[in-house]
Parts: sequence; structure tokens; C-alpha cells
Amino acid sequence: MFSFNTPFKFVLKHLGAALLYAYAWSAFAQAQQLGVSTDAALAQYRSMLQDANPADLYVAKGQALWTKARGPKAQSLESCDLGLGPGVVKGAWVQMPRYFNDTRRVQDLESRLVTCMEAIQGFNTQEIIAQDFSKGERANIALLAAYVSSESQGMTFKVPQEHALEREMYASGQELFYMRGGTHDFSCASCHTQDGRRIRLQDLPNLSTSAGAGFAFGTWPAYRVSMGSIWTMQQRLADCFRQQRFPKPKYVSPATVALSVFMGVNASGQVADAPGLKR
Amino acid sequence: MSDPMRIRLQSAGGLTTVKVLMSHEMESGQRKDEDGKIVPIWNIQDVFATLNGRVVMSSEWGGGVSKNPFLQFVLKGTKPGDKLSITWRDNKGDTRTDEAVVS
Amino acid sequence: MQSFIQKCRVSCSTKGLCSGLIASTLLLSLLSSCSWTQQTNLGIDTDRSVQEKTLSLVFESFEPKGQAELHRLKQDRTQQFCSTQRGLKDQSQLTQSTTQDQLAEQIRLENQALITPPKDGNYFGDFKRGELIAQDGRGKTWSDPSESPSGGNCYNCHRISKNELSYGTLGPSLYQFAKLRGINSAKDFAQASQNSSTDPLIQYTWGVLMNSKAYNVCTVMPRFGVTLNHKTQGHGGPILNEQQIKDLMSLLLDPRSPVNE
Repeated sequence: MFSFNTPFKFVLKHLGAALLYAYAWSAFAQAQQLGVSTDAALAQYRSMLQDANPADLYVAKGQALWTKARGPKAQSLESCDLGLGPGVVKGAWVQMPRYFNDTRRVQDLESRLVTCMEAIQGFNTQEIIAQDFSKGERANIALLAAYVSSESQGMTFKVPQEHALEREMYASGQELFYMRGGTHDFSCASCHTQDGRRIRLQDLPNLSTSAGAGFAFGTWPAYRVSMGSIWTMQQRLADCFRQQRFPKPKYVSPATVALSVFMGVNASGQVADAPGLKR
Repeated sequence: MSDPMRIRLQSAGGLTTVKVLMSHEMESGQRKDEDGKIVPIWNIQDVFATLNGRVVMSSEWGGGVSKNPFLQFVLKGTKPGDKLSITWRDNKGDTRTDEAVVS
Repeated sequence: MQSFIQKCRVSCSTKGLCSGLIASTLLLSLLSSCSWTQQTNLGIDTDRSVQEKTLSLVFESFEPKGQAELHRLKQDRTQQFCSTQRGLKDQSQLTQSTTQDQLAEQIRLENQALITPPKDGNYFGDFKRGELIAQDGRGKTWSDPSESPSGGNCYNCHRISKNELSYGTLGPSLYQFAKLRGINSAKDFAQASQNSSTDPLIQYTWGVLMNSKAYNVCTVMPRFGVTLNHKTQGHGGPILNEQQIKDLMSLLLDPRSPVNE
């Protein structure tokens, strides 16, 4: 039992992100009334949120998972090859997706983590694919993704296009990006090919440009404040497809990897800043 | 064993801005799980800070504070080398203290 | 897989069944992949092999969930044509620009033909309900029950009523829609609605809400009021029913609506 005999006694309600939210929101609302542009007010609000990214808490957990002996084979992931050699994590993420000799296909980060989790640790790939996001081993993959992406913080994207399959995947990713479908005739391009647009108050990056692709591809995985959890790029893509009224993309399926190749190559030369912070 | 807080101190001219990111689920006691059952309250109730052992900030938190709370406050009259510690206590009696040094 | 698709393409274009089949499920999956790769020469001549590879990629990568069936990925002519219209970057690759324009016009007219007037001749409803429909973003996703009605999700893309600040900017502002187009009073509105079937503004607004592609063939705006080719797509009816469209008409055109404040 603590006693609080101090001159400073605050009864602070709605602290934490909620307070920051509320304060920033009132600042935003006031700014609106003062005639400050919506964009400027939103930018201020977001920079205030950026100050403490809870994703940092998850990066630490991801690093612990990377080094921990786990799975039926009781091995750590420290011998996992993310493209720069076994165990090399630093700088690996900004060169993904890429072609891998051992699996003979182009893989994004999550696809490659699944490969390593099966080959090295003995986890079952089909079970991981069948699982829901944020549950079981899929929750662990999100933590691992947060860690691995953080090890490329500040580096520039150089997603390779040397191998023929890498180039094919870019072409397919582009094709899929522009593919109109579903009940609402939506494609990725419907929302993501213009500068300075937003859905409700959510800014939309222009993924067909270097800057837009760099921002989007470079900030997922991210801590999603509304969900209180890390969302990976695969999860972001799946939720896009849900809102496009498409059927569901299978986890780490080729179509999802192709889209990451498209975005990643478009992001060439842009700076990675993951894990990010999203609403 | 709870996860460590991340504490950042920014000092200038005797004023230190303290920024603390805490790792805690912060269940409000109003949320329902997938089966429709209320998820019981599990949240931080008291937070206080000491500077060189003397309490300089204390607070009682009600409901409505979100998961992974972020707390920021300013201290006057700090000097380099001062030791700041932050402590939280939750409704289950768990507690955690982390420290940082004013630079 | 690639050679199967190519065999299917050849036999489909000659209107024959795909050959070499064993089980009925294999037949079904091959037939569906047949109709997907049945290409007429639409849009820009992007590399045919890229299109085929992508379609087979898509076929193996998606699965049905909830009400979102796999056949939602079977594109109709509008979707196929608009998938290849990529803006300035690819315009330079157009080799048959006149044909493109003619094709676009054909498809626009096909969409226009789907628009029907309200069954009872009354184009209007309740603007308060219209505002709720404009705010509601549910419906047609795999996480929505198929029986529940959809919203229009209009605020996702448009500014609409005066006080709603949480609006998107993918589409033009609809604020003061009627006011800016000559309906300034109850009298103007009464006059226009008396001649609904010939009033250009009422016909235009109804038409865009029913089938936006009749006015701009590759617009991002969904085709809210018409049933798309349900034989191949089975979307379970239009996104919005006739009453909902009428309510949105009132939201936009009624001078008492918050849009026209």
C-alpha cells in the first residue's frame, strides 16, 4: 500500500494514448475551427502519436523469439537465411521479397519466416497458414516481423530484380494491382494511384510512385493503435481485399508476395521506417 | 514478470520532459471476448515517480486508459545525474519499477 | 497449369469443351479457369503471357470466405477494360486509340442500358435515412452476413453534409449538390420533381447512383443500383436497393437536406 503525501497529486484520467488522442484530437478540432488546414492538423496529431510507438515493446519480444529454441525440433531461428546468409538479420528486410535458391521461389518476409519455422524448428506450414492473424504462431510471426524489419530501420530499399522470377512477380504484382473486380469494381489502384487522397480521414499512399510505395512498404509491419497489436503487410493486404469485397487471399500466397514485389521495387531508394505506427 | 517500461528523458535548463511507454493490456472490464463473456478488469491503478528517492508525481488512474499507456510529464529543478524511477501498480497487485538517469 | 490454360483458351475460343478431363471437380475447376482466360482483345495489349500468369496466380492464391465467393474475381467487360486503363504511364503504349475510345463507348452504353427508372415513378425518399446510408460502410464483405443490407459508404470518398468532417477525398465534394445546380428552394424542387422523368438533374443523379459507369466508364465509384452479370458473378443483387437509392436522391437534392444547408 503506497501513501501519497506529496504536493503533486494528480488524478489523471484518460492517460496514455487515450489522453494523447484526446488532447491531439481537441487540438485538431480547435485547429479546424481556427481555419488551420485539416492536413496540417492531422500531421500535428500524428507527430504527437509518433513520439512513443508501442511497437518498440514488440520488437523486443520478436528478438527474444528469434533467439529462443522453439518448436518440435527445439531450435532457434538464428540459422534462418533471410537472403543475406544464415542468421544475418541486419539489412535483410530491405532486400525482400527476393528469390531463394532452396525453395526456388520468390518470398516475402512472412513467407520466408514460415519456411524457416518449418525447416529449422519443425512447425507445420499448413497449420500456420490455416490459423487466423494475431493468433498462435501467426501472432509470433508478427513479433518476428517487427524485430526483423526494425533491423533495417533507416536503410534504403533495394528489392532485387535480377532473377527472372523476381521480374515475373513484379509484372504479375502490377497486373493484380490494377485488376478491377468484385461487387464494387475495386482494384488496389482505385485507392492507391493518386497523390493526396484519403478515405474518410485516412491518408492513402500512392503506391505507383516511389515516395508513396516507400512510405507504405516501409512502415508495415506496424503497431495499429485501434487494434492494440502489430499488423504485418500480409494482414494489411488481407484486410484491403476484404474491404474490396474480394474473396480471401491465402496467407503468404503468390498473389500477396507479387504485390509486395510490386510495392518493394517501386520503393527502391526510399528509406525503411518499420515497425510503423498506424491508427 | 511484466515487460520493462521504456523511459525517455529530455532535459534542458533544469526542466526534464519524462516520456514513459508502459507495457500493459489495460482491460477496462467492459470488453467482451469472442464467447460474449466480459473480460475482467486488469489495469494499472496507481503510477508514481520518484527523483532521487523523493516522490515527485503520483497519480490514480481510472478506467479508460488504453493498452500500452504512454505517460508524459515535466519535472522542474532537475540536474544531470538525478535518478528517476517510475512505478506502476495494477488491480491484481502486480507492480513494476523502472529507472533512468537525467543526463 | 500453364499448358492446361493454353489448351483451354484454344478450345474455349472455338466454343468447344476443354478436352482431356477425368473427374467432375477437375472439370469444374478447369472450366472456371477456361472462362477466366477467355480473352477478347480488350484494352491495352499488355503481354498476354503476363495476363495468363497473373490469372493463374490469382486462381491459386484466393479462397472463398463468407459471402465472398471465388467467382467475384471473374471480371465482366467493364472490369476487364478498366483494368488495363492505367493512366498516363500506359497511354503512351496505346496503339489503337480510336478503337479504345469506341470500345469505351460501347461499354458505357452497355452500362447505361442497365439503368431503370423507379418502379412507381417516384424518385425520392427520406434524406435522414439517406444520411445513414451514406455513413454506413457495411455490406458485401466476407465479414458481413449475406442477408444484411449494405450501406453506400459514401463518406469514404465524398464530402456530403455540412457538419460531417470525417469525409474522404477520392471523389468530388457533394456538399450543396442541389444548391449549386439550380435547386434553391422548395418551389424549385417541386417543379423539378413534377417532371422527374425529363428533368436532366434528376435523371443524371439517379443514373450516377444506379450505375456510375454509364457516365464515366472507368470511374472508381461502384455501380450501386444495378445487378451485375449475376450468372458469372452471383453478387446476390445490387449493392443498394431502390428505396436506398431514393433516400440518397433526397439527401442530395432535397433543399431541406443537410447537404443543401
